[in-house]
Parts: sequence; structure tokens; C-alpha cells
Amino acid sequence: MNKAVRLWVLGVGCAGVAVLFAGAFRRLPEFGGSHHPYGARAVAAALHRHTANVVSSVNFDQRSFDTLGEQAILFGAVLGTVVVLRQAKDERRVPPEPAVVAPTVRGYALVSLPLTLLVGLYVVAHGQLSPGGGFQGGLVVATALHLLYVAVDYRALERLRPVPVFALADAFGDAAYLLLGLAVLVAGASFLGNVLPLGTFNTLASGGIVPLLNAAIGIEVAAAAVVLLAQFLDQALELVPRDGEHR
Amino acid sequence: MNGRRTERGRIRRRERPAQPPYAQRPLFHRETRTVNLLPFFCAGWLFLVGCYALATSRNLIHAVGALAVCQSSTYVLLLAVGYRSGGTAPVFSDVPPGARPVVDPVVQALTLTDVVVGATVTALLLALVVQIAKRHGTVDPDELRELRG
Amino acid sequence: MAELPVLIGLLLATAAGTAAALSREPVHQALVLSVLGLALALLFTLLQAPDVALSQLAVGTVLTPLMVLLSVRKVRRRPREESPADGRGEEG
Repeated sequence: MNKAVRLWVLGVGCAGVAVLFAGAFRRLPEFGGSHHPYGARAVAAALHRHTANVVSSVNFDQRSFDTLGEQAILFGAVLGTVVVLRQAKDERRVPPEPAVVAPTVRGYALVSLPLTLLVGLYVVAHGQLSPGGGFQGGLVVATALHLLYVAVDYRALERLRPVPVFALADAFGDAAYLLLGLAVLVAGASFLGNVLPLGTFNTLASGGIVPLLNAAIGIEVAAAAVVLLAQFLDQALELVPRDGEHR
Repeated sequence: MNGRRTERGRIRRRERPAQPPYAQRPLFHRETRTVNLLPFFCAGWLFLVGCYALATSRNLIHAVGALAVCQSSTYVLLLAVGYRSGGTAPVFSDVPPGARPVVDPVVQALTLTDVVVGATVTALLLALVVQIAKRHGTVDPDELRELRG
Repeated sequence: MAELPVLIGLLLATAAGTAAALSREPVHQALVLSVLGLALALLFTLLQAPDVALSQLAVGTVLTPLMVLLSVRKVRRRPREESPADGRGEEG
């Protein structure tokens, strides 16, 4: 298929999508309208289960089975990346040189590292109350760890971040989510059902199973982001071909 | 079909007496309509421009970036569907329940997981690109096609 | 016109997305992608979705552009094998 034909096919496809899309959004409810039947029901259900952050309630209570699928995709994608980017037989590791960092950069990064870490853990822990939760907080925690690379150098990061431990943590988070669901099943309720005491509305111990699933996702996402970045950093900074030839 | 349309129309009219039902309104008719269509137009535009970049890409890493633009169009579309004028975030730690209308939390939950899972899928695609570069020495899709013969 | 900030955010995000899609050079694209991430996070905040804005901020401005830059660095190194590993990316 040559270039002109490809552009023609693309043009026809895009025009088709545009026409269908325009036809579809003609019938969509108006932007900013007040008719949200699913939203109203989700809010009512979240308040009934004493969860102040409705988004967390939807993710970890009302649609927790869906989140199980999402985190399975996440786990699978991380596993695939680790397998694809593993050290091949024709590659060797070159330990990176120590790097010189400007004192201001180092000072700023070393101050913001514990602060960012704390913010990340706070965001995970308060997922059922305030905006945030396992997905966001986990990412903040993972990002915080990489400030060490900015502050010192890659060797310091490698020492602080043993990849096998984080890979295990990733699997642990994934398994914890599934096992929590199975534990509920064993206890006599439906899979991933919210049978725990619901607690007092707007306190840390509220929402029943929501904080637990939230924590499992927090562990998994933080570990997943660390493992992913570790794979790419290893590839970019350490692994070189053994004989200087590819294939 | 006709019966359903009148059914919908009846429900709409009961809520907003001043406006006719959506189904009978022409596209791009009044100025207010155009403004209200803008979010959906933006989402569609982002998707199409991402597709264009994806199809004409000369570099697989660039293609993955274009796919990220396509992904972002779905976030815009979902959140635009859930938005509500004058609504606040669906979080009741500061606002007492029922005090203010809130935007739709369901689409937000969908988008939230999509953002994070999308990033890991991007990572997997980039890993495959790195592996292709190692094995074939190029990331140009046209050169790769020639290698296959 | 109560919706004006949302519309401005939308136009910003659309402009950033178009620029990201149309920039041909991957390194340049990675930087524009992080601008897109920032614009989307702003838009999501204006659309009253702080949860999504938080994760978009972390993913869109940091994680995805960083992975793209690291991939570019790995792929670029191919032709000149003998260049020593310097332990720190130009993007680091």
C-alpha cells in the first residue's frame, strides 16, 4: 500500500468517524445539563455506604469488579514490559558513573522527596474522604522515589529501590485485591461485596471495604510505576550490547 | 423508533419546558448550541488528529505519543458527558450532602482508572518499540516493512 | 457566561493535543505531551473532577513523557555504540 493510497484510506476513515460521531453527539444530553440518572444513583449509594468521596465509592465498592479487571490489565501490562525489556543474552550492564549535581538542585530535591512521599501516602490513605485514592497516591509515591535520581544519581536510586521487592509488592497488591474479594465470598456475601462495618461518615475508618481495596490498589500502582520506570531507566542508562552489534 | 422519540420528548419537556427535545433540533442551529457542542467537537478533533498522526508517523515512538493523544480524547468526552453547570466535585468531605448539585461521579471513576491503566499500556508499547529497535536497528515503520520483505 | 473557564480549558487542551500529534520529533513531542498533560489536568479540575486531574497530573506530565524520553535515548544510542554510558540522561 503506497503513501497516497494510505492517505486516501485514512481520509475516508476519518470522515466516516467524524460523520458517525457528529450523528452520535446530536442525541447526547446537552453539555452541562442537569439530567444524570447514573450519577444521582451513585451519589445516593455512596452516601448510603458512608463514603464521602463518591468516585472512590464507585471504583472500590459499586464497581469494584470492574476495577478488578482494570488492575488485571495494569498487572498484565507491567508483566509484559518486564518480560520484553529483560536483560538479553547479548547485553551487558555498564554501571553508571556517579554524577555531579548542582547543590541547589540537590537541596531542593532532597527536601521535596520526603514531602512528596508523605503527600502520596496521605492521598492513598484519604481516598475514601478527599479527592485521591490508590491510583493517584500510588503514582505520587512512585514519582517521589525518583526525586532521588534528580538529587543524587542513578546508583543511589538503584540502592534504595530493589526492583525484585517492588515487583513482589506489585504482585502482592494484585493478589490482595483478589483475596479480599474471595474472603468476602467465603464470609457468605457476594464477591467483593461491602460487608464490613461502614463506620462513621467522613472519618478515616469509613466506607467498609473501600479503604482496604484502595490500599491494595495504592500498593500495586506505586510498585507498578516504580518497576516500569526501572525497566526503562535500566535500558537507557545501563544495558549496552555485548559486542556492539545488534542481532 | 417514532414512539420512543415522543417518549423521550415528553420526558425532556417536563424537565425543561422552554426547550424542544434534542432529537428534533438541527445541528449547529443557534449560538448557544454551538458553545454546548464544543466539548464533544474537541474530543472528536483530538481523536481524529491523533489518528492522522498515528497513520502518517515515521517513527514508532512518535506513533505511541500520537496514541496517547487519541486516549486523551476519550477522557475529554467522558468528563464532558458527566459535567453539570454549577455542579461541584462529587466529594462530600467539605460540602454537606444535598447542599449543592454534583457532577456525575460514574464517568469520573471510569476516566480515572483509564488514565492509569492507559499509561501502563503505553509503557508496554514503548517496551515493544525498544525491542524492535534492538532487533532490527530501526523504528521507522516503512523500513521495518521492507525488512519483512 | 459561567462556562467560560471550562471552554478556555477545552481550547487549551485541544491546542496542546494538536501540537503533540503534529510534532514529528519524538523528544519535542514528549515535551508537548507533558504540556498536554498539564492542560488536561487543568481542564479536569475546571470540570470538577479533582480525582481525575490528580492522576492525569502524575501520569500525563511525568510518567508518559519520561518513558518516551528514555525510549528515545535507548533507541538513539543504536548507531553510535561506543559512546560511554554517562549515568545521567540529558533529560534527567
